[in-house]
Amino acid sequence: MRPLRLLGDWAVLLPLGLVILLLLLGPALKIAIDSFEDEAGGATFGNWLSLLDVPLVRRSVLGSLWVGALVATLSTLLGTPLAWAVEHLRPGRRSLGIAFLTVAGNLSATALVFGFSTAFGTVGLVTLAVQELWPGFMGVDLYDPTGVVYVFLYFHIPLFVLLTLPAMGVVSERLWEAAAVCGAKPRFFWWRIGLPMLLPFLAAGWFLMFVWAISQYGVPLALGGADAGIDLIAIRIGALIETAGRSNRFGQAACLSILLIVLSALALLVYHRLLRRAARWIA
Amino acid sequence: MRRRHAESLAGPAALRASAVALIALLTVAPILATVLYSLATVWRHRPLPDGYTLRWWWATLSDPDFLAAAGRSLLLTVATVLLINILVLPPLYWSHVRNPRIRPLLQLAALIPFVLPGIVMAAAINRFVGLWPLTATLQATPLLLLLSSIAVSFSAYLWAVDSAMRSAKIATLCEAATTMGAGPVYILRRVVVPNIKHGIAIGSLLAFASVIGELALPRIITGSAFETIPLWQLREMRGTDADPNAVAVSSLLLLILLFAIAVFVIRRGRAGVPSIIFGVEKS
Repeated sequence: MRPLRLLGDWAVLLPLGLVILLLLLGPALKIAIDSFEDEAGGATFGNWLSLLDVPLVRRSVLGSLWVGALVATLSTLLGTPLAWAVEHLRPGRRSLGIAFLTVAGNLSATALVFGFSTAFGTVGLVTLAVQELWPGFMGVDLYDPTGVVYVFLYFHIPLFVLLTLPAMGVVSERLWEAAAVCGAKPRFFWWRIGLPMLLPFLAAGWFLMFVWAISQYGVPLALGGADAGIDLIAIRIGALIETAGRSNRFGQAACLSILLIVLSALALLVYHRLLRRAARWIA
Repeated sequence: MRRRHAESLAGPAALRASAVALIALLTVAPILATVLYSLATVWRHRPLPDGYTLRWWWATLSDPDFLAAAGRSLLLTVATVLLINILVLPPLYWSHVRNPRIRPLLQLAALIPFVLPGIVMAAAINRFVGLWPLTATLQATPLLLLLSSIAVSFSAYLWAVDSAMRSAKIATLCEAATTMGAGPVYILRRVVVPNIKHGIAIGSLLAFASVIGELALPRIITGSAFETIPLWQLREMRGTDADPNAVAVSSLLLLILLFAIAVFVIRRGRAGVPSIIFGVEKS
């Protein structure tokens, strides 16, 4: 009777479990092994050393870390006041704001890059309109490797706002009134009560934006990818696979993949820890 | 006399209103620029096009390459969403009514795609299926693309439906139905699904939006053998015979499609959008 019961309890999980096992976990394990294999199939650390040796590969690692940290930091700095403002709007305007943010945060990579360049590029709609008033304005040069940061910010800031919106309510008017009755000035309130309460949520948002930024592939690819001088891990993996075909020389791509997985996993772990502690404030 | 802190915590209303205006402007600008681009005859260095025409719309809608890509994208996306429903709904239901130990497993599984970025998965899945002669026949097939699309995009669906099940108190409903003698399949069809319709619709919408814009998986897994809309757009953006007007038209068509589905989903549901704090449960 017991095995039958066990089957009844777990059988429904089987199809999804198989998909996860064969299409997520199995492949991940395979590239972990690949990262220690040389072209002939022998064991080696050479691929991992190439992360330090091969300039192209090393640059992509540094590039991703830099872009990830920069985008996460700017999204946090610009997104926090925006989230505060949206949270304190009248209900109608608030949902309008959320609708706009959802659209901006979820445009597909190709549509986003195309729309962004026709609006904010060097000959874009907005750029040309601003130039009528202020001739020196140049717009965003999307053919420069830094262009990727602007496009990332365009959809990371909305995602940051949407993510931290539920947290903004924890610093309530009631708290402020209580503090004010005790004689607190706004600056003191923010410094000792408001910000410390928001901090775990903002920090968690930073880590999630970091994960999001380093795992982007579609947007930098649509911006021209490796040909346009964009040095990011995801782009380098794609370029390595395309030149290596389905044969050997996969080792470097495998190492970069594992590196990306480890970075994402660590950042998500920190994210989870931060929110676990802070979630009790959101009732 | 002591100064009273009468001012509210929210900050000046004008500042908040201008935040929304800024969001709206930044969101609308790329879309407006894309609309103008799709209607422009020629667009020289001036803020607005020189003249307007419907030529590009007509040309794109009668381009067999585009129509074929659109067909493939829709087929792939609809099939993915249907299969996600079939694979995820039963174990989720079971975790609420019969075996709660499934739940943490599902929650953990939903985080995996965030640790394994699309480009990494695309590379790894190709390598993994190449391991055995039987599965190697799957390489570069639409079927493999379909399976991988499920694996990387079921998370949002899982969260949306899980939170809908919790707020509908599915466990209690099922106890009542069981007491009256209904079987599990009947309960799922006639009691559970009608109560969480809105969650299912939101989850399906999220999965739909993420699959239809996906670049990494189709590019690495099938490449030009199964050209989806984003791949076709990429070719029209960068290729030797690039046609930016066609990119503008196709981006707008996708946007209109997503918008129509979103309006339909939100209109039909009486409850608001379920609030999901990414991966962390409210307790």
